[in-house]
Amino acid sequence: MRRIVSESSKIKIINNLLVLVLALYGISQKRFDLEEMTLFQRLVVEVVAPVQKGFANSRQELSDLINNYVRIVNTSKENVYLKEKIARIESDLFQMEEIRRENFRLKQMLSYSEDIGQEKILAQVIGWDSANQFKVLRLNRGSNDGIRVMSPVITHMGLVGYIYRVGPNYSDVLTILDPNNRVDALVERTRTHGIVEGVFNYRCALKYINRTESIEVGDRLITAGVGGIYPKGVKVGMVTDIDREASGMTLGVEITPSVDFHKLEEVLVLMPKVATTAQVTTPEPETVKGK
Amino acid sequence: MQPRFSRLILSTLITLGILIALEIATSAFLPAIGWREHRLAFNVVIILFMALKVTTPLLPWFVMLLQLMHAAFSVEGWALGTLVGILVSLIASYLKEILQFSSAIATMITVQLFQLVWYVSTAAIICLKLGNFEKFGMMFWNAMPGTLLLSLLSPLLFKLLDKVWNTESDVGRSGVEI
Repeated sequence: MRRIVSESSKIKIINNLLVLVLALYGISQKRFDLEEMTLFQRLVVEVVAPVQKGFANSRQELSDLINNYVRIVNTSKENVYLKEKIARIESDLFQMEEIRRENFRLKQMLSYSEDIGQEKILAQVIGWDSANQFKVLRLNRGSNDGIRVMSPVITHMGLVGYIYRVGPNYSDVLTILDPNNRVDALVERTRTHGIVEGVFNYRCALKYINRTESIEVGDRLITAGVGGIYPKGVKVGMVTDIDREASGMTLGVEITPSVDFHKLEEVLVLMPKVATTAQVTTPEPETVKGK
Repeated sequence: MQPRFSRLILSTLITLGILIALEIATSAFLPAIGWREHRLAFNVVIILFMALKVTTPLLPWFVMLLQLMHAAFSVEGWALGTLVGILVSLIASYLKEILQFSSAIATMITVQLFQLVWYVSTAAIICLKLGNFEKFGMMFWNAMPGTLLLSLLSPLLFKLLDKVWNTESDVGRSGVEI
């Protein structure tokens, strides 16, 4: 008996050690700013993302369902019938209102995207990261639609983040709310450079701003266009608090992002600028001679 | 041996199904109805259940399997949760004798305490990996509202998982040997 117990403990220890070593290796390889999807992850995402997409698409129906359930509790059949009828009409009205709002949002996005001289893809937000420590969105577009990692993601309101990992039909965006996403930004009025980092609770911090800089609450921030990910001039956010009492050589600056992440439904993914054949082809010597 | 093994496979598949359903709920359903502030990390509670109530030498592999599935819904990845899951299950294995799940309150308190250990460890490892402990407190506190809600839900979830793993009759103590 003792022998069986000790063998069982041995197996337990070996299993623990094996998985611990694998996990430690996994952590050592882990990058919080960029990741490639494994085959297994791709498979699972391809299976579950349509369900997530379904929930995102039926947002209105879901809230109607909950409202209707609350309404019909403890009412007579007639009341239920009448309320259902009203609910249907209300639902139609809600849907029309929803379509009107969507139309408005898409028009805004379209007019904004016309100003950007870059190819872009419209995508829908279908889910959020299920862990608290990361602020990541899932989009309903992937590499089959031309999306690549590190592509910047924006809306007409401003910067959302960049593509962190991509599957064939879905992709994940590391938003500017995530502490692992650092954006090189400029204070529009003073042209002061700083780094915007996520600090949870839907706020960001502007870092490395010298105490001597004359930054004020209400100053707007735009992307600096340095680093090769984000184009220059995209709105990032607004200064909402400055801690001048903080110790050290730099100011503590709180930023409220321009994008309302609570209401984010559609985004634009900017495609990387690819040099055209005409730009990269050098004229053949004979042609030059001919000239 | 055979029926025991087939039961193990079946319980694992059902648990994975429950995890997928709950992950979809927290990543898509709850945000769709307006709940966007805090995520409910159901993977943590399921791993805690396994660590506290199921005794098997294969536990580390189950933790890894659950985290691999969780990684499809979160950029957290599988490795971090697996490491913390094993640490927590090792702690749980030493405390099993004194832990009780006889009442809902006892389950909630136990789950809350282990979630605290989980999030302290997770935040510490992320900070170690990033070489920056500035956001340790924020990472930890940000997870707290979600953990409280999960602790409130844990008696229900434990009851469901008790049925899946057939651990109902063996409340607390040394868990069920599989």
